[in-house]
Amino acid sequence: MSETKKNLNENQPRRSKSEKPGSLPYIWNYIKHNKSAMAGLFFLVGLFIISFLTPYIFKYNYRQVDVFLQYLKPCAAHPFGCDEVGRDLLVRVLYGAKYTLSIGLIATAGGGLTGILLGAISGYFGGKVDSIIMRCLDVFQSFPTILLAIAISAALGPGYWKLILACGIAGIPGYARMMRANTLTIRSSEYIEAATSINCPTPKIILKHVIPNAISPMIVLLSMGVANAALVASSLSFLGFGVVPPTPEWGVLLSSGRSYILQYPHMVVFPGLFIMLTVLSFNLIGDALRDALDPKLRN
Amino acid sequence: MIRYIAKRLLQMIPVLISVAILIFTIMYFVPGDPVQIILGDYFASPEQIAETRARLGLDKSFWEQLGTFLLGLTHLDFGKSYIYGNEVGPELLYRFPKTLALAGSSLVLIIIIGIPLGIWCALNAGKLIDRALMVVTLLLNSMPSFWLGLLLIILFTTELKLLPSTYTNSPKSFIMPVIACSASVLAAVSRQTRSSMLEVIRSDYVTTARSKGLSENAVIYKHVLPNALVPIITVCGTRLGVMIGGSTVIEAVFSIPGIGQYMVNAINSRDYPVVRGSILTVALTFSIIMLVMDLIYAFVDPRIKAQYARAKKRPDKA
Amino acid sequence: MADITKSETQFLSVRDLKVEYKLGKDTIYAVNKVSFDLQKGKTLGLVGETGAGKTTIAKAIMRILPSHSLKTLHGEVSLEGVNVLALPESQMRTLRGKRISMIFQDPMTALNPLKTVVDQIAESIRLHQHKSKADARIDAIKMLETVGISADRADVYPHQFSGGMKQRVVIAMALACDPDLLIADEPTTALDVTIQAQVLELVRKLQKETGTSMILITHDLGVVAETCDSVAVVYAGEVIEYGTKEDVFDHPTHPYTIGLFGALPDLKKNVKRLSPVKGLPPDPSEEYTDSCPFAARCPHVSERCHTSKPDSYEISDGHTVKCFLAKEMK
Repeated sequence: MSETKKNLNENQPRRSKSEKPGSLPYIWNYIKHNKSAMAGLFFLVGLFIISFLTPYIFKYNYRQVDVFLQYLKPCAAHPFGCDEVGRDLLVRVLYGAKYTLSIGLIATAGGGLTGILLGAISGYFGGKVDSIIMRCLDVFQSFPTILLAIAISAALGPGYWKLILACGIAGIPGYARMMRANTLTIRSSEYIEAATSINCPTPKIILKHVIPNAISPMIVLLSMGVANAALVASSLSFLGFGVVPPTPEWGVLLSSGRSYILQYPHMVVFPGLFIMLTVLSFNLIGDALRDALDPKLRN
Repeated sequence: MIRYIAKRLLQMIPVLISVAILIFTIMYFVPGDPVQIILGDYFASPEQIAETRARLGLDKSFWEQLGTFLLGLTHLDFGKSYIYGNEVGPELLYRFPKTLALAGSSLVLIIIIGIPLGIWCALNAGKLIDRALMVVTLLLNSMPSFWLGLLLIILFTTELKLLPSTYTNSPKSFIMPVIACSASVLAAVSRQTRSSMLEVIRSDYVTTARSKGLSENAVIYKHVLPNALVPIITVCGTRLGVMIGGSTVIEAVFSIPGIGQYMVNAINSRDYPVVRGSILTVALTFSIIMLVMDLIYAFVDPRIKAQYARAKKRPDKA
Repeated sequence: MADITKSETQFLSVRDLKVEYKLGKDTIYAVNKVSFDLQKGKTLGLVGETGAGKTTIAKAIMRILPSHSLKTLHGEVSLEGVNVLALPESQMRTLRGKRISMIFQDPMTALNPLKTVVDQIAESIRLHQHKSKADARIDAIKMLETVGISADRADVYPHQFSGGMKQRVVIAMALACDPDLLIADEPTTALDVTIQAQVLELVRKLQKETGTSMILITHDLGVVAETCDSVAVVYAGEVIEYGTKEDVFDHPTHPYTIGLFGALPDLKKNVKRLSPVKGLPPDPSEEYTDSCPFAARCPHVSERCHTSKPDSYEISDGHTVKCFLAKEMK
């Protein structure tokens, strides 16, 4: 039977809110269908929750020392084994998740925000402001991020918040540079010209036009940045900067376990495995975000 | 073009001086007293403390110390190590080749394996082997390099007893460190190569090339690959920094006496001259590598070459 | 379907060409049983809206459709008796650039940004005429001069050229090996009007000099009037009207064709509004097996247009129309 053809005026399907590219519901919709990104998200959220609930789930406390259980290899009672003073490694690893996750997120949030503001200001105003900010960033970027983080961490001293500060500061140049590049592109767009031509005040232009439009590629950078910050934080702790024993941060666990690597490798395998899974999860989410926001893939 | 190179080299000088000042300032604020560490645990008399202080020049003001340091730099004098007393400069010179060997070999490995692997995956996109390799590279990309190093030690030193876990004079001791240092960046470069190739392959000029009747190989290697290279080089460059920083950690894992280890130990023992010297060396190396990379860009893409030739300001890194 | 002429005697003969793409889970029916002929040395105009399938037809003839999304390619494309669609790829490659070549729509992206223009032209000369690098270069420079680009700009990169000059380079590249069939896909659409005239003039001149047969794809009826000998009007991947230029311009029969001509602004008339063809282009993911694709927009639509598909009816010698109304005119 013949189908009634669609009404001429409705040849184009009407777009619901979640189909508007670039908007939050659209992004969420996209990610929901990406299996690996969802797996990563579940892992991270689950890990975060468990990390706070360890005292209620497990029999052993992360600080509980037991000389008789020293160096215990993985077994039924202790799935990850025990460390050099008999603490259950599973509990320590799970408890330690909160450090790596929170350091990664907070450092990136802080560093990202600062970097975005700096980049936007630098890109929008140009001239002397731009030159000064760029030269400063040049200096900060003339050696690898980790070394910068090490230097700052050494200057600040050990500690949780100091580590966050070090990782955050070390990440600023990257975000600032990208934001500046995006701002420069947007600044020469016609809609900015239009806004200035109707006397729109500058802060309003920056906040309402420049930043929202420059932010899409930043989202991907930020999500990768969390993974990177987590890695830098563990590396720093591994080397002895940042957080120190007995805090069960994963880098610290690796550092302590290293001395016994030849006889008791389990002390090294598990913390590192969790670092890898965490970074992997953030990378998967970041990849999915990039695909969701890619204009070319929207068609 | 030569003018561009000269300009970049000249621009490096104020940057390096700023780095020197920055590091000096940061180190100045590091808590902990080097004098305490040098004199050790035993009870030191105030005279000894004062004498050591004066000897090391730590009793002078911030500006005087900074001035002395910068002045020393002008004739390449990095000062003497607080802990060991020897000249920092020659020690850096001794250690630099080891770090260079580590980072350099890693870079070579990444280029000769990572890029061809990415090309191969792009050409076989969608097939099982490509998907398997994508999973592998994804995992490697997320693996912390120092953990990989430790795992390699477990496998090759403990279980298989094939390779040494610490530095010896033979190249054998470099195998695991280089693998650990390069693996994650190699994975990233592979993936970037693959996606870059896949993107370029859809370009109009590739269709043009095909419409001329070129063989598929000619299309891939003469039209697709050269155009895909620019983002690949970018990724190489940004990841290079990560790798050089990572080599510091790898040196710690495998006890390689390179600049990274020198620096980390020095930070812990508040040996400031060593810290300053090593960071400056790394900064200089890094800047030169970035310059070489920018030159490679110009070599690969004539549009970028044109930008450099007429640019008044230094083009920004991507 | 009326037999236009025997395939063997025509220079180019396309029969029942069918192209389907896959887009995610959907199928795109890009070209649906298209047939037309082209005589040697003549020009055929393929006219239609954006998205009607004209470029797909062109790429199908050359077999340069994107392999990753191609689902089906059926039909027969006979070039002087040889079915090009049935050839092995290696043989097809010897035809591309040498006997059939293409001028692409967007000159801005059609050239490799990393190679000089002379290199890109010399590339096909070296490939098909097996000349040395130096000889090919000389020939390439000659080609450039033929299209109006002086020799001292030969070693220039594409980004240093304007759009019009880039398009000339593309033309030079396409004609470098003296092809028998030239397919020009909207060669002037991306250029502004003054340059359009120059480029068209150039193409016509070269075509006359070399005797190349040409398929000119365009949506501009004015261009068709100036340059083409025969016209095929394409709609929703089908040829809905086909005939000589005089046939189609003087006696447009299909309601869509009439609509197209009606939409042209007439300098002699004083009208308040232009009269475009009503409605929007059809959805390519719909397969119109049992209905006329134009039914939704046709001012003369009737019940049968929704329930069965019209064949191509020949209303005069060589002039075919795919409409039930044409059936009645016979």
